[in-house]
Order: sequence, then structure tokens, then C-alpha cells
Amino acid sequence: MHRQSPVRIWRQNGYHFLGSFCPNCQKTYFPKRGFCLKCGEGDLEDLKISNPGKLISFSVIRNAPAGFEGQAPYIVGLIELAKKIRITAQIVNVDPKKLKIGQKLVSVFRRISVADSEAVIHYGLKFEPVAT
Amino acid sequence: MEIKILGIGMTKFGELWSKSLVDLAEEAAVKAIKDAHLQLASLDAIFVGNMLSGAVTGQEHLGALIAERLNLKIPAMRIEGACASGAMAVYQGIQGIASGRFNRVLIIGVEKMTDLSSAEVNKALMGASAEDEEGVNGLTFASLYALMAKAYLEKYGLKEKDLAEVAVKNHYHASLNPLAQFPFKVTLKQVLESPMVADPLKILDCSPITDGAAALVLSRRQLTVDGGQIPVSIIGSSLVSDTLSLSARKDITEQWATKKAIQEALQMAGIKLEEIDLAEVHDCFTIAEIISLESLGFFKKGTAAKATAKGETRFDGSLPVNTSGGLKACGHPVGATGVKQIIELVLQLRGQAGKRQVKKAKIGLAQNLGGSGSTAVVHILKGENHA
Repeated sequence: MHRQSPVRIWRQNGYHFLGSFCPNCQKTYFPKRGFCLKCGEGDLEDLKISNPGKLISFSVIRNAPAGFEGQAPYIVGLIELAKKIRITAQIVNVDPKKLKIGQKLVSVFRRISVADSEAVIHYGLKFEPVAT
Repeated sequence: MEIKILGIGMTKFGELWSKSLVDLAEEAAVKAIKDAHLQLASLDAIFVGNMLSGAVTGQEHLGALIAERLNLKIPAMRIEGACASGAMAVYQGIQGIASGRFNRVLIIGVEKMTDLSSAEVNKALMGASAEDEEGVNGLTFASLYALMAKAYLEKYGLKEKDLAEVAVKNHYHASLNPLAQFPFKVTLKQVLESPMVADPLKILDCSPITDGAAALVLSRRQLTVDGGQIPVSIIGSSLVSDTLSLSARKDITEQWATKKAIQEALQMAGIKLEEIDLAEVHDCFTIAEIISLESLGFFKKGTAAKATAKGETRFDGSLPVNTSGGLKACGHPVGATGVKQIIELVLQLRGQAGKRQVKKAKIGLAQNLGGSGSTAVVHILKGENHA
């Protein structure tokens, strides 16, 4: 029996912002899903959500949850991408004092967390300011 | 609809190291039964509101666990909806009576949180968020509300001190509540100088980690022998779900679920918002009280903080809010909070609130939130005091 590894799934889905497009009724969804809620279509196409995004709000976490203790302080933000799709993610490569609501950000591939030395390392997308 | 509240009972809120979850549930339940002048055997069902038991101790199946402790073999079930679990259990108990199935039910909200470290509790609480997006990226609840706070302050040109007024007011109320976790006052300066948790929220903008339980006896009818308690009824009850993830909301400076829940509850109660004399609202963070008050319709958007600074929401103001001390200072044992809010209203409507008694209180409102506003539960209570 063939099993997909977590890493392979991440490679396919986790390193882009993927939504779904219904070829039958043209409805779009984010995040990716299996079925169209409007017409019931089960064979949806991937929809890539494009960069850059706009910063809606942000905060600096000083008290981290378990698994992130070593990273604090770190910046998290609410970012609006194309089609008004919003996501929450970490923001890197910037002094939080210089961040401004409304600023343009672009996604960057980063290590998200490491549960322990034996565990699979979790990679994903964070954001950084658009280079000027 | 009128559901009678026959009895109320709660434990002290705080770090209660000598008591387990089931000890706390037992204490609140027995106090509520005694307050109602009833025996445990006269109950038809138990609804338990709890969020974290499985994550903290591994213990699930709380319905049977608590029924066993109370020596009862009646329908007993646990309701989970994050920090709204308590009010959800009340909502569900009301459904049980309204359906005709039960005459008298016991509601217990209970949470045991101080057995874990702060980092572990933070992680467990994130079970109430969108784990795939918010949890995996290292967000915390403080940071989700901080995102709302930052956007709100920017939108209305307000400062961190405007939020801090909520903490000062709720601590003042808690100083008048002997069951509160923090029964002492704090100054604006102390709030502003407290350590930052998630900018712009400081530790004194945040509700604490708390152990505690709160219980109610709900009934279809008033008892003929009720020990002379002033009757209090639930006349409105609504529950609304919004998106689990904050990012799926159009506007993070208001609570859509609260706006919808208050309309439904008012309609059910057949009253207008202006008739409400006092409110217990979900101040898990100072910003949450501000946004809740505006979404409930008590204040225009962008104005609740200034009204708080003017004393309008103090127990002697025009709209007393969180006379218990709120989640901020009475404490926030998450599953118990929604039930405790209703107990505070009952005390006020009966005229038993002691030093924090609101004058001429007839109608009270409780609003309990789950997650970042993903669930909103609103209850409206009416007392027959002060004719």
C-alpha cells in the first residue's frame, strides 16, 4: 500500500496558499477543500492565491505556547492576499517598530517549529516586507 | 419562554491546588441545590460545561464522572464550546426543559487549569482556535485578541491606556467580590507598566488562569416553597456561530456573532436593549469587553473605552458591566465562566450582591464567547425584585 509522507503533502499544499476552484459553477474557496458547497462538485481544481499581501494587523508574542518558547519574541500578523483572502502567519526580517498597518508583505519559506530532535521539522510560509 | 433559576452555587475562583475538578464540581452543585431548597434526587439531568479536562488531566466523560460523585444515575452530559462551554451548557439545559423532556436540570461549569505550566495552558487553550492555521503558526489567544486591539486602536485613534481602563474598573468590582481570584484594586499606571504579553496587550489586560466551578438549578416552574428567594427567570437565550478562524472574518473590530445573538435574545425576551439594567460580558482581554459592549449595541463603535473611563460601566454607573470583576479579575476558569456570569446576575437581581449591589436592577444580560468570537451565547434574565 502506498502512503503519502507528511513532507510530500506539505510540498504539494503547504508551501503555497492554495484555495479551490469549482469547474462546474465557478465558485472559489479558501483554504482548499474537497467539495463545492454550492453545487456538490467533488473534483475541484487548485487555486493558487498570489502574493504580495497587505498587513491588516500585527502583534509581538512575548509569552509563547509550548513548542515555540525558544522563538519568542516573534511577530504575528493578519495579512490580506489577493481576492480579499486573509491569513494569520508569522512575520520575519523586520523590526516590529518599523511595521505599519497597510504595508505590503510577501511570503517566504521558513522553518515553523521543531517538536523535538527526533521529530519531522515543520516548514511553512511566513511573511516579510517587500524589498524596496 | 421563562425558565426559573431556583438555585445558584459557586466555589472561590483562584489557584485551588487542594481541589480536583470533581471536588470543585461537587462543591458548586451542592451549594446550588442547597440554595434552591431541594435535594439532589429531585434533578432530572446534568449538563456540564468544560473545555480542557481531557487536555489537562486526560479525564473525559465528565457527565458520568460528576453524576457518580453526586450519587445520581440520571442523564448527564458534557458540553464543549471553548470558553463559551459554560453558557452553552445553560443553553442546552434550557433546550432540555423547553423540549418537555426534563423538569429540573443541574448546570455545572467547571475548569481545573492551574495543574499545568503557562506554556502548556496556552497550547491547550489554542484548541479553541483554528489549529491548522493559528495554532501551527505559534499564535496564542492573547495574540489573536492583540490583532483585534491593534486594528481597533488604529481605526479609532485610541491609546493603550483607553483599554487599561477596563482592567481598572473590573479589578475595582472584584475588590468588592469575596469569591474573586483577584479581590483587589489596580491603578491605571500598574496596568500600563505591567509586562507585555502580546503587543499592545499587557499581563494586566489579560484574564488569568483559574480553577473554579459554578452551578445553577434550572426549572420549568417556580417552587411553591422556595425559602423566600426572589424569583429570577431566564427570558432570552441564544447561541450563534461565526467562523473559527479570525482570518475568515470581514471586520475584526466587531463581533458578528454577538451582534446576531443579542438580536435573537432580545426578540425571544420581547424587550428592548434599553431595558437592560446591567451586563456581564466576556472580557477575556480588555479589548474583548470594549468590542463586546459595542457589538451588543450598548455603545457606538469606537466609544466604549471612553465611556468606561467616565465610569459609565461601574456598578454605580448608567450601565454596570462585569460587577463580578469579570473574567479579568474574578478569574476565568473557562468552562465555569458562562455559568458564573449568570450567577452574578442572579445575585444582583435578587438584591444579594452586597457591596457591589446595583440599585433597582430588574433585567440583566450575560454574553459569553468561545474562541476569538467564533461562538457567542447571550442570556437575558429578569428578576421580580424592587417592585
